[in-house]
Amino acid sequence: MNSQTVIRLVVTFFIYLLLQIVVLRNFVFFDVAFCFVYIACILLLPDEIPPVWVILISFLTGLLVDIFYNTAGVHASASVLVGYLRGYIIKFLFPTKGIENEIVISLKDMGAERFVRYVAILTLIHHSTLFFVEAGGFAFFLITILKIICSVVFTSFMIIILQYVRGN
Amino acid sequence: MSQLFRLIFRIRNFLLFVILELISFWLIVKNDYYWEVSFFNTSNYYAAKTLEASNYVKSYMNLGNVNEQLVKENAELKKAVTAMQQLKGREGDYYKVDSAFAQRFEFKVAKVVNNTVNLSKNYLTIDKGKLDGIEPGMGVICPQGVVGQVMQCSDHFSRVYSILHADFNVSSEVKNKALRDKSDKALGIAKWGGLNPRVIDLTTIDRFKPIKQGDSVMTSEQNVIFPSGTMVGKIRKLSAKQDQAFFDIEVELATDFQNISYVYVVNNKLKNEQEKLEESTKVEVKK
Repeated sequence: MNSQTVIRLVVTFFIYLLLQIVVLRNFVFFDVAFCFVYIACILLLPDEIPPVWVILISFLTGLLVDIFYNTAGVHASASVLVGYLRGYIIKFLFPTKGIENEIVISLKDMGAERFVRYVAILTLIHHSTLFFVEAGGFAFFLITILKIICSVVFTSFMIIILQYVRGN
Repeated sequence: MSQLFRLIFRIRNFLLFVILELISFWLIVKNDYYWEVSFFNTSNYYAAKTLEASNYVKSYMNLGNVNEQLVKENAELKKAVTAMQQLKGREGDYYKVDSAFAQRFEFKVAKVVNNTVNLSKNYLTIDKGKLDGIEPGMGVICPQGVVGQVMQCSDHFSRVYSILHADFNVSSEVKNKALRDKSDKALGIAKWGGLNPRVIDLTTIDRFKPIKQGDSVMTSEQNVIFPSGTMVGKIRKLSAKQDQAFFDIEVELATDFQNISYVYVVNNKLKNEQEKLEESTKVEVKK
């Protein structure tokens, strides 16, 4: 990784965070569909970054979002889980990695089908943790399930759209 | 020993993951139970400043709404003044309101700089804090109705429990003509159900009380935090099952939490005195 790549990564990171905190915080459809597009910061990190760093970056991202959502720890716990499981999911979805070639995590390089599958699985993990921790257990079970399903669709959709925007 | 280190090195990712998760959950638990000022919320100075800047722009676009609220409030105030003047004329009532009691509420205006409505525990951040005389425990209302209670304060900002919070109760009562004629009361507890930010549930009201759809729900006189008669909302739907003692009531909130911009922090000057008295008598009963 050269310094140019690092700078590009840092800039993307802050763009996604700002987008989340300033704009998407106010977008909630029908009280159930939330958009937490900031997890793209974690999902789109290059594969060659060591797992320890991925986990630390996830924690930092979660904490920053927590400060603005007034939910100390909730986003951080969900993000750390995603950061930890990311490596395993990549291994599971792309078992040929390392034999054929290196995996570049983006819509263009992975193809639509594989990218959507990758984003949807990790978003589902993140949102399930997030909403159940946020509700403090299984008290609002059905409502929480509804929130999870709608938000996974919304967030994944948003991440994919932003990939197209970035591509052009 | 070297084997131990090798093991730790091999599972370092997992260890880091567990440690960070523990920190997260520690933050969550601490944030839920203690009222001490913690760094990770919007009463943090820098976070609040950023949100304030983004709200500065938004407040211009909201001016029309704010104006409308002010006009409405002016009308309410005028009504209250008239009511006071009317009251003065009546002589010979058995019960006279003590002026210290009548003037026990103080109001401070604050601006909302952050607000959530869609979580299951919602909070607001306002731009007045300790230096402006705000203390945890004070009530917060807006021209339309109740908003919540101050949870914690920094020097310039305060964090407020919204009534859209799963653990927050408001002692309220239903007001209508039938109840007034019978000089009866319908006291209940208002509590948020967790989904719709425009609706709150009202419980523990006897199902033989003469109440109906459209009646007003206000804070009760037993409420120490809010002035009695602060609007909570209007009954939207009520039902009662045969085998239940209480109504199931849905109340449409008077406060529009999605467009809230200015609030009043209520300071009940006699609250400490009242609580001290109640506390001291409790101890005597125990003896």
